[in-house]
Amino acid sequence: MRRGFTAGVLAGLALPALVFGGGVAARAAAPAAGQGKCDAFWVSPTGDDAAAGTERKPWRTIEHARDTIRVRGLNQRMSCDLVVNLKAGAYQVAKTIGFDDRDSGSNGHKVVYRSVDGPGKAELEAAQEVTGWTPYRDGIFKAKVDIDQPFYTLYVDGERATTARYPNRQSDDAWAPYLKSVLIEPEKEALRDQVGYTEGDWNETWNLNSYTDWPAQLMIWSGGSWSWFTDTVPIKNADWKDNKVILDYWTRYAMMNSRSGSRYFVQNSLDLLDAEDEYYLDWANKELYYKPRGATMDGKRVLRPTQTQVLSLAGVSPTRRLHDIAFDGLGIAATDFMQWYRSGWISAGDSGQKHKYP
Amino acid sequence: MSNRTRRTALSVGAGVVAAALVTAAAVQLNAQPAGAARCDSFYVAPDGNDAAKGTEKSPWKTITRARDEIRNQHLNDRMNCDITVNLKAGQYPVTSTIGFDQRDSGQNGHRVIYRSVDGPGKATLQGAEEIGGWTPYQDGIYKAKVDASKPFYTLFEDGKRATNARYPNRQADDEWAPYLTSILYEEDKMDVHNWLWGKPGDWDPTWDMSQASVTIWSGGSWSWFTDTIPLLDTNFKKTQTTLKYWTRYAMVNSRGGSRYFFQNSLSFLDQPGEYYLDAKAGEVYYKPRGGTMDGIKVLRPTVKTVLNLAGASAQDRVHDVTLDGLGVQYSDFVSWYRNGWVAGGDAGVEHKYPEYDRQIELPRNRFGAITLTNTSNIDLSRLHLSDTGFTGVYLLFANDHTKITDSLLENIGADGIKVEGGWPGEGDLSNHHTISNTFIDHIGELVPGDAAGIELMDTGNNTVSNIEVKHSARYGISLESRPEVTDGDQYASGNSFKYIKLDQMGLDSGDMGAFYTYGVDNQEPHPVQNTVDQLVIGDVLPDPSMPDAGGTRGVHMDAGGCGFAFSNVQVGKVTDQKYQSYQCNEVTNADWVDGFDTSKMEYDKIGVLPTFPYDVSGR
Repeated sequence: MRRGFTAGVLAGLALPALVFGGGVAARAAAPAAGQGKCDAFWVSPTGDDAAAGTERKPWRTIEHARDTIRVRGLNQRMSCDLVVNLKAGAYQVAKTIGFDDRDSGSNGHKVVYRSVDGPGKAELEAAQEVTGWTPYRDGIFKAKVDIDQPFYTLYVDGERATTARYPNRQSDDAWAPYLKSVLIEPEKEALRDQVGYTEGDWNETWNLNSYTDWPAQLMIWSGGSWSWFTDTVPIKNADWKDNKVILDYWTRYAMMNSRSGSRYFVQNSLDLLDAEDEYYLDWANKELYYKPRGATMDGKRVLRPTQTQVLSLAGVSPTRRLHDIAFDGLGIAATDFMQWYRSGWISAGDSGQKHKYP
Repeated sequence: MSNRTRRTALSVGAGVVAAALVTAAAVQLNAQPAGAARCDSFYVAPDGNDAAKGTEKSPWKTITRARDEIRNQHLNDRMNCDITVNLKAGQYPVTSTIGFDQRDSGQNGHRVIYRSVDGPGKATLQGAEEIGGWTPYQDGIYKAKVDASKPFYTLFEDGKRATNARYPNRQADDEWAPYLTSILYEEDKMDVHNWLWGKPGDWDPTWDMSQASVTIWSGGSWSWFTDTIPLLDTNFKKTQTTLKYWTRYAMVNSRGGSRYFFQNSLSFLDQPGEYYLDAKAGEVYYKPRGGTMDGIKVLRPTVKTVLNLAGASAQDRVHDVTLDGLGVQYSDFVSWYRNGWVAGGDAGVEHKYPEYDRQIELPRNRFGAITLTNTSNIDLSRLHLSDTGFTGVYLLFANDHTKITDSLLENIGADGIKVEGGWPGEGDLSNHHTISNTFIDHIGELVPGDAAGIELMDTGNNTVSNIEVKHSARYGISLESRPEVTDGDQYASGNSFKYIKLDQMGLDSGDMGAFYTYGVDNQEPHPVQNTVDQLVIGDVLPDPSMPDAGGTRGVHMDAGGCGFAFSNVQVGKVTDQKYQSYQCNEVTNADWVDGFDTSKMEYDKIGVLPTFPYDVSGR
């Protein structure tokens, strides 16, 4: 216990020093003064994993640095921090980078992965660029995407694009405006998988891709008068006759609360793509539609996410932890979302596992 | 591929050996496999000693001692004949679940056999212990101290289940009715799952509800599933109570309320055979059936699972183990029971068919008195399984070539035998099981909702023959997946059901059939993939309180109940149709079709055979 605590304090002291040092004297950053034999490796987006991993001959991937340390056991009996320097640039992460208990520091020293050219300069991107845009219509462009999994958000020039929605958002960083659900029948207040709508709110010509694996979705502040949690839920189908839509999953709260409806918008249909910076992925045909600002794709860098996680730090168990590792100055960007989101289970005990406090 | 071939070959060999054993054992109880002089054989007796030698004259005391000897001495590493552990007649108390894993497997086509050497049902593993120290309380009720840190959820008096003190009292020992019925208190509260309103005047404000729970056919006008849920807080003024957990379905459906009774309060303890557990004080109250505790043995369950056969993984299975002639008696129920998740996706784990979350038990309820997972070629023969708190035999996920034969299962808390193959489209995990010559009597005693004598879920290539199921609130036999599944992903084809008798089915539920299928073949053109031959179903008549307008049927081929060939089927009285199905099954010679020919019915072969090892005459 005592040893672990001491190590933590030491590590805490070492880290701020590194951060400050990184920008000013990055190149000189031999870890911990007076420790001539400390290992330092270099990685660069233009490097080569078959290289030596030195400043002049850097590796290409952070995984290769991790594996080298792991395989050579360089982190087994450490007498100073071990530093992996990532040079400036974008590192494309095609697969979540995992660290486990084999990658820990030891003896109070840390394994440090840092952006050597300054904070935010080395950026891990969980995305791939989409190119080959051709005009579609109404200022919309389209491009083929070679994917075997769909994606659920999109980034253009480092900013999030909007999944084609109705009603359109009032500004890039506001979620409103919304539609509001209504009571389907007097006794249906507690329903969680059906949303009643006001006649005229929905357009029956919208293609919701019902009964496919790529349906339109609802983003809804379930709970009626409460505005606590949002659900993003695929739509099973619309019942145009009864002015309601049926969802694939239950929402966190009921659609109605104290006779008040829940605010929502509809998204993920090509028929909803009408505003600038909206996109729609046609998953079945593997085509991406995007309506750029300024009516041109020239100079635009579109990134489709490939991963929901960039870094996964996971020991084997609570007793076999990953420890004493630092990530300093790294940029992490462009991760994916999911098809269905709900905050937690609806009711206690629903994990299906026994707990002291279900 | 070579692996699969080998497994099949093994299985056939094992089947022959097992059959030979059963025959031999019946004739000469101490029989060793012929021509295998050096085969290990051990003895266990209730009055034995684990420090002894494990011989017939100096037997061990516990089955786990024998298991550990075989495991630790690696006696099963290079087998050239079967290893037999002989359990002498008597009762073996089980204080913690007896586990077998991959280290306990047979090898080289030979088996490790645990058998009741003095005859079927003579050696009994009991998952319960006696409660002593009873003192009179009042009104013919006695009380005794129990360990407050170990609550239990069912109780037995001399091998007969006691009733958790309830209101209203049950009309008979093996019936669930009568009930109270919940009401729609406010119009907008129809779909709530955790608030229950009673009819004003139905509840007595003097009741102590502090440790009470409710058993309810949630879903209002539907009577499909029962929930048992502790109460959180009761408001007598409003005749309203809040439940600790959500029910499967809403309390009210189509304006109809749900049938329910309350249980576990001293206020309800007024009938002989009723008990109340004050878990906080560590006291149990019981009103004996004969008016006195003299000579009465009251047993409280100690385990939910008596025998757990579980390999470490689907690739590392326990295999080639036989349990022959064992009695397995008493196991516990749970504090809260709900059938599966309320909504698809609620498992919280991504699945190809999230709707199956509504089909599979919650993780906490995936057990039986005998549980098998990650097994291959396990034989349960001449088993006498009785008085369980929950499911009798539960086959969870990866299991193949399980044989349950010549067995009697009676007084079962939930399903008799449940085979759960897991989520469709994620691997064919459970197949090639044999269930034959088996009598399953009184199931669903604590979970009448969805109870089945045999419930098969996402499992195929099984043979179910010479089966008798008697007394069920709902099904006799069911085969299920989900209607959303693309055909082939259910792994529920190639099942054969033959010589089946289902009697006293549908006693308390509706929109059901004594033989039931759901979601096993969902798309055209419905080629025949499962067969049912020589099926006799008795009357399927529910309690008059049962509100489901769907009524009862002999055979109910629900959504996706397709691709079946039925032949030679007879059904007694029903409240709906004898046979309800879409036009997607073949029927030959059934008594709801004109020209039914009784001469084609092989009545003498239907149900259990004359070789059945237990006396079930008169049942």
